[in-house]
Amino acid sequence: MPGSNDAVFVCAVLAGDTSAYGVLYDRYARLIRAICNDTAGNLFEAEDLCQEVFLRGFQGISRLRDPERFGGWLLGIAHLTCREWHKKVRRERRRRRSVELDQIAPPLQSNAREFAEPLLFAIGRLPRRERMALHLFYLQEHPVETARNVMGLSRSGFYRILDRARRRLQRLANARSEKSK
Amino acid sequence: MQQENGLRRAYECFSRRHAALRNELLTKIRDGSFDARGPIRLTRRWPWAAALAASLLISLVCSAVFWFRTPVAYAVADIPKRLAGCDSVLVDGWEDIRGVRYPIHLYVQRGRYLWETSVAGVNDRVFSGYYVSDSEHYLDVSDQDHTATYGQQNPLAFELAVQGVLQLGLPEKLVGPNGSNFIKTGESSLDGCRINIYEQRSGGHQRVIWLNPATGVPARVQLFEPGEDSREKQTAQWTIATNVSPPPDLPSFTLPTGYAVIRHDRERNEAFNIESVGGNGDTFQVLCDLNLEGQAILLCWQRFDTNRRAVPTTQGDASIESSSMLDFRLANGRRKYFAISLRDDPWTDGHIAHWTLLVPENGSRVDRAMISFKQARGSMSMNLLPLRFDRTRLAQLVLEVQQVTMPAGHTALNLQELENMAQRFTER
Repeated sequence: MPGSNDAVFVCAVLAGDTSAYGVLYDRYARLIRAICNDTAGNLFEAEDLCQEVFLRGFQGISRLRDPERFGGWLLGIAHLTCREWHKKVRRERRRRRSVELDQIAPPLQSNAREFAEPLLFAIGRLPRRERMALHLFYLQEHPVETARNVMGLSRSGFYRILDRARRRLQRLANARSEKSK
Repeated sequence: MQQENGLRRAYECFSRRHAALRNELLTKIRDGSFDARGPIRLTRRWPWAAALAASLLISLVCSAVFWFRTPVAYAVADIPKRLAGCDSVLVDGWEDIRGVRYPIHLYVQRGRYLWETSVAGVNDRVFSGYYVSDSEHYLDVSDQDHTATYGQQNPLAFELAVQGVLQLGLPEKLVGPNGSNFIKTGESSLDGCRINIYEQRSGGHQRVIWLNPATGVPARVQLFEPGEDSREKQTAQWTIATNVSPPPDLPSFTLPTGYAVIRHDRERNEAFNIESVGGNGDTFQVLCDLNLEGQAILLCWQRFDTNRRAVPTTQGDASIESSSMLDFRLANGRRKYFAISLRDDPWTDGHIAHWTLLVPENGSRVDRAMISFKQARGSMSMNLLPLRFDRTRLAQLVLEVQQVTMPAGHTALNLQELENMAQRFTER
């Protein structure tokens, strides 16, 4: 069960078995991509950020005190990586503003928003815990187990937040359709 | 229900390319080919303590260097740079193919000669051959199809080939594709010279470099792999001499007897040594790449689908394959290059030769690059190893290489113009 036996694979990675890291990647990469997409709003960039998170995770796995908490620890890395990315983008935007480069080259993020479904965009506007509940529910095989691991929620607590997220999402969708009318 | 289906569909995008990305990550981890930037710190409680520790460490290292200064030793990492600076290199040795040791020779002299023997195992048979060239003629002899192809050499093709051997081919042959993780294991002497011995072990394979510290170039390289009786088996040995005159047995351009003779004079459009990568008919080729003194890469490339009935023939079609569809990154995969499209030239077989200037996003120096193509059904990537030249020659070459693909009546961008363009991006 994911979350409950992450420790086995973490120990295997520490023993030099890199394929075990592949198993952990299979468990968490989709979730990390979704979290990165919330920040980047661009799937290509989210994929790159996700790879960065896993590389950093691999480099620091020997410092993980409780292998059972791998998921939560990796999510911490993801949040910090996203924060660094966001700072970097803001810095670069400020620097770029004065230079008209588009005449020479296509914009750096020409693929931005290509995959940004309206629904994903709306999810990105939800409060963090509600967003995380949705990500977990739709991307993790055993969402409650992972939620317990990374969000410290009970089963009922998780479903309560999930329900709230869905209702808020519905309201956002309704408001959007009314606006378009 | 509608919302539920919509959500499930929206979340599917995070599974897109999962397998390819997984392979990419695990390959990077196994190769160790990612930046050793270190794990991210989750707590930053004692930044002053870290700063104090760092300054103490720096002063300790500085005083150690000052008081215990040792003679400068050339490391394995410097070998490619040393080889690229040689005027000539001679390699003699052997390679084991299916238990038989076949002789191997290579002699390269800048601007004069290139001589290479080759041995290849095809099914149950082993074929040998050789290639000899100067800036005017070449001769390519192959035992496989029993042919001897000869003709006039293209001077630009010869120059790029010689530099390719000195800067890329030879260093990779001697040091291996991954030049890291060498450990100094001892010292010895060879032909009266003091030698440092370095070893690299990887998956049971071992590479031993006998490095001459006086020249910074290997004097001997040995390869070993696990044998059948669990003992190590030597599979290759090369002896290297640098800045030497041509060997007496350097083959002439006289056609050997008993071979089918083919005459083929190399045209201007054969000047490039093409590197390819592809799958499912989608082919990407690098025609030419030059390192503009660490500031940018001048790249010429083409991409085509061999399964398509109609290949792009016009400038209009070429825009479909623009550089914005590619992902150019530094060799460690972290930072991007800005890809500035310079020109699209009609090229052989109806393809388009795209000229692109690559400028590192963070203003760092150019060394190697990695190109990846994100496709609907997976991704491909290729390493780019741009050649270096001294500034005078580089300024001429920049024009010469562009003229290879350029239609009559057009003007090539000169080195200064390209550098100015790169500068604008670097200064951002």
